Amino acid sequence: MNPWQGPIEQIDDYRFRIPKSYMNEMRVPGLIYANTEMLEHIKGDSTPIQVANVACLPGIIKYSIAMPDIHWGYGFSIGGVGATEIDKGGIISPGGVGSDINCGVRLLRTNLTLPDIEDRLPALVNGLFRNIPSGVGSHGSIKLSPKDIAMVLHTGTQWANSHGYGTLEDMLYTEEQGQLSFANPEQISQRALERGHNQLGTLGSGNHFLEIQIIDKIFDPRIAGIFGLKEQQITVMIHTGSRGLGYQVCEDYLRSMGDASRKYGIYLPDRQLACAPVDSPEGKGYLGAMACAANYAWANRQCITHLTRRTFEQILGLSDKEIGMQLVYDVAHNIAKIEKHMVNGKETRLCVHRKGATRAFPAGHPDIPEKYRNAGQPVIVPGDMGRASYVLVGTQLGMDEAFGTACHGAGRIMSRTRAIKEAKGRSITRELADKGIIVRSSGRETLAEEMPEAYKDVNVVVNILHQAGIAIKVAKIRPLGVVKG
Amino acid sequence: MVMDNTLDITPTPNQKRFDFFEHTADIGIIAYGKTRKEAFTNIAYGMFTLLAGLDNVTPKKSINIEAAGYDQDELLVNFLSELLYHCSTKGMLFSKVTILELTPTVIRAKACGEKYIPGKHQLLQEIKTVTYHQLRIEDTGCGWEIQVIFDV
Repeated sequence: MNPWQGPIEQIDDYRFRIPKSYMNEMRVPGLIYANTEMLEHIKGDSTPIQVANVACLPGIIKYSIAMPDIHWGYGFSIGGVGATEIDKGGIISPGGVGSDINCGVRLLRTNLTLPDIEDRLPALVNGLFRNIPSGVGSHGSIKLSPKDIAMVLHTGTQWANSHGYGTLEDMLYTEEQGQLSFANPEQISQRALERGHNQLGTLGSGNHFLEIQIIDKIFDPRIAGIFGLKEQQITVMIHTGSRGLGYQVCEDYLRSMGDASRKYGIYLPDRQLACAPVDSPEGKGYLGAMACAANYAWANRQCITHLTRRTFEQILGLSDKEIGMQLVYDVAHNIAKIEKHMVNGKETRLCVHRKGATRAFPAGHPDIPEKYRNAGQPVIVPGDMGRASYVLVGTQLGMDEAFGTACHGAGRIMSRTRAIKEAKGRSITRELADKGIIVRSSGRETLAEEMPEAYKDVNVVVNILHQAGIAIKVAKIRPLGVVKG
Repeated sequence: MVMDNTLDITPTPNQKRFDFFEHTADIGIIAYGKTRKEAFTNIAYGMFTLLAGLDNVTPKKSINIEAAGYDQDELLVNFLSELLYHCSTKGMLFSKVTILELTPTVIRAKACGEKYIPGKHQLLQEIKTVTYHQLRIEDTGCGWEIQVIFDV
């Protein structure tokens, strides 16, 4: 890919701007959170052009934003954020959500510390690997009847709970309580249903994972206390999404949005940005379908949570109560949401696209659970399987500047093909074992593709946001056991 | 069926049918062909090579594939997506695709293969979607080239 040749202006140590003058069609400037070193890398893969392309979309306001974990994606970059003003013809684009709709991550805390599980760690990893289907096209034991799948699409986590896969507390600590109310199963194609009927409770492949972890460091004891986190505590992190159903919704609507863009005369700098006004029939259709896929993803992570809890009980011979595996929070990081934000001193209805970006609302926001309201929303940031993951918390500055959004992970730095080449002759499993990390994977090449060096250093990514004041560090977690797709 | 009007994708010796190339997070294929139709056939074959080991896929079941598009780029994306649908929902692996009709906006083909059997076949990669990014269908003067990047 050609390196970026256009202008980038430094605003401060962690903020960089692509001026509106770069392209005639840009409606707003671009804003990239990075440091100078990372910016050089970002320029290298021409991602800034994608930031500029998003700035051309009808109704976009303030900035087309890129988080420090930005890397190349289809349409929007991964780590891209774009908010459009609905009442002024603002658009919604499947390219601003991505193909894995509501790919997201949840963090579970436990009453356990390392001595409680140390001897049983290999058995736990094997048990999770056995009980939670993973890998290419994995199928689960939860088979959905047509009536059930309609309920999953409508009610998300609520369906899972009513079938014994979760608790009321789980629902409370999930973004949107695991259910987008504007889901419209009538907008879901037969094909999407076919792909979704047997994939609930499965991890899938690629970068999806399930990790047993330990909290390494607490940065903010007050907020960590509110989130129920302390040093040396064992946690579990689950990263997956809406599986084949979500991919199919993306495909279906990318197709119909192509027609809609022509119908509404929308200029598209990139065909993957095909879109329609949020308030148009096409826009509402996608929104209704996307919400269904999002609900499916929440139900999926909930079913996996259930399987994880049962596996821990089985392997450790402890009760649910003794283990105390409770949900800290579940965040979506591939989604478009209808939200109210202050724009020029006025409350305004926006469609906020977060693609590889996490909602990060500040303390006091009514959409976060009451128990966390004095702290702010937990932001779960998974890193790579060798280094670390983080818990951050949203800030008012992040709300004002980035529509209440933070990064979603470390961000890829190496193509999958290159990672496989670099890993030739090496045993990633052995290298991780030397660091005390046990890993199991169903895909032959997944471990190579997902090796730590394939990603940016999550510590640097998170520090940029922390220094910029967009989200604040609460806890650092390191992996002990990893199940990869 | 007029033989001159059809092509299958059984490998022809000494003729490269496609190449893989890397792309940030994903994988692309450039397929070659003496004609546009042959390049369409080869990109389909390339895509299934990415999905699974095709050596022991027996072409015992045939499925009719039809797709249309606003232009030839959309036609190609819709055609490959159609093949992918049969793979991801019905578990079909295709080792042979015969194009029966190809206009700038319509394609009709017959895809032959068999259902995925664990143990017999090996799945290599999941493809999320076929993308328009850097998509290219081109007559280079010495043959046709089709370039597609897959979201994996």
